[in-house]
Amino acid sequence: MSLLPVAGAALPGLLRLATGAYVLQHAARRRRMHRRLHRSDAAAFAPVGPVRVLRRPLPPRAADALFDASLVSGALMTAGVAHRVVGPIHAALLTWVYAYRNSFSMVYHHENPFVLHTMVLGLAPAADALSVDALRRDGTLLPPRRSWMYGATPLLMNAVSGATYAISGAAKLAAAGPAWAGGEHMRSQVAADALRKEMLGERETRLGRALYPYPQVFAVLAAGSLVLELAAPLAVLDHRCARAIAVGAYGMHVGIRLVMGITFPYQLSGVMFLPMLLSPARR
Amino acid sequence: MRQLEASIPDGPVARLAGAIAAGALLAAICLPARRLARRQEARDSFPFSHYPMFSAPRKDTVGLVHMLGRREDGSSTPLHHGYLGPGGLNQVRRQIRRRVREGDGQLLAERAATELARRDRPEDRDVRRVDVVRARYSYPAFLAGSRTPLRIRVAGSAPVPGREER
Repeated sequence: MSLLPVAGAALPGLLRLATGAYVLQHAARRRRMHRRLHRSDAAAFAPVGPVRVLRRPLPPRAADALFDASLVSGALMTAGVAHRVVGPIHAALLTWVYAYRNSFSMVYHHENPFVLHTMVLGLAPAADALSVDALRRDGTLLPPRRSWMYGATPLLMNAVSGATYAISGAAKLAAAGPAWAGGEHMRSQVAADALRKEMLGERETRLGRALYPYPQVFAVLAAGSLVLELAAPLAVLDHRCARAIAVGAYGMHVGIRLVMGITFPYQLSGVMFLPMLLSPARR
Repeated sequence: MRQLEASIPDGPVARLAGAIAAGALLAAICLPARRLARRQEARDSFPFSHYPMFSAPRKDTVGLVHMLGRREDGSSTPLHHGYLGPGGLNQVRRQIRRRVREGDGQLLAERAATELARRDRPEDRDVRRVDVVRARYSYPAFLAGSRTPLRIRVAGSAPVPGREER
């Protein structure tokens, strides 16, 4: 059995199209928010990741320009234009733009996976099919190319997703030990979230409030999500494991949305789990 | 039809480069997990995080900095965090907590009052004054329907321009 499954060029091509289109619409819809953030109070600036090279925020026009450049590079990468150059440039720009966006006192963890997936796709030969490059090079969108590199691309994306979930699970164990699976942490988190939402002018979820009197429900939800997070790296072992983890993780994010009112847009769009669902079998 | 390979030529160099790049990425993702061993709350990063969400231990009470819109009849209503800045609820919540701790409560109240007047949202048209408050709430009481804080301190208060109190 081969460690890296051989696949056709269409597989990473499809992942590039789906992830690229998702990121493009995600960013474009939030352009106004980013521009306002670039003009917000410098006192809130707490740089993270690569942005730590800055001591104070960029001039707003420079931050706007970098954001807009990431939209352009995102459109080019999604279309598969000069991928060997555009892919790494877009991955670097996107990493900077989202590290900068998360440098104002709060890190939004729903943005890590699409930045990390873009890094993988930007460096992989992900535009050998379903791309302008393929049309130019081979005269067709679906050239008859097969390689271990195409199979390795979703595998690495799954390893990235699995690692981030496993660290999330480890964080819960580090904070409370196995007792986290008892559900009391999750229950109080639901209460804290409902309170914050209401007192900061947003709508809370009715389901979270309705379930609050039933600790046993939270015990089931907490134990299930902890097991799922810690088991997520198994997605790299086998395509059937990957599909099971994808279905479970998607269900977990639907649950978080319904009970806590917290939306993980990339995860809930389903695009994050495409590499797991489309993982090729090893032969 | 002749079967082709990937656009990147296969060979020992490509395999080694791929292994190094994949290994480096996975190491960068996993290394922040070291922060979980620290006793104090470690600062998170991006895109390589240690994902502390939903893991912090909680008590039965919570302290919260937020805004209250005071109406003419003496009643009050929580105001939307968007009056204090962009970036979403949790980002604004952390920013204002820090600013109030640094003594900027009055400045925040004045800024929010000006923004409230400028936006003129129908649901807040009867608000005459904006208070920025530090309050402590009990979860069980809150979930039982009580909005009354255990204690509350006004960190800043400003009239809404153009809606002078009578």
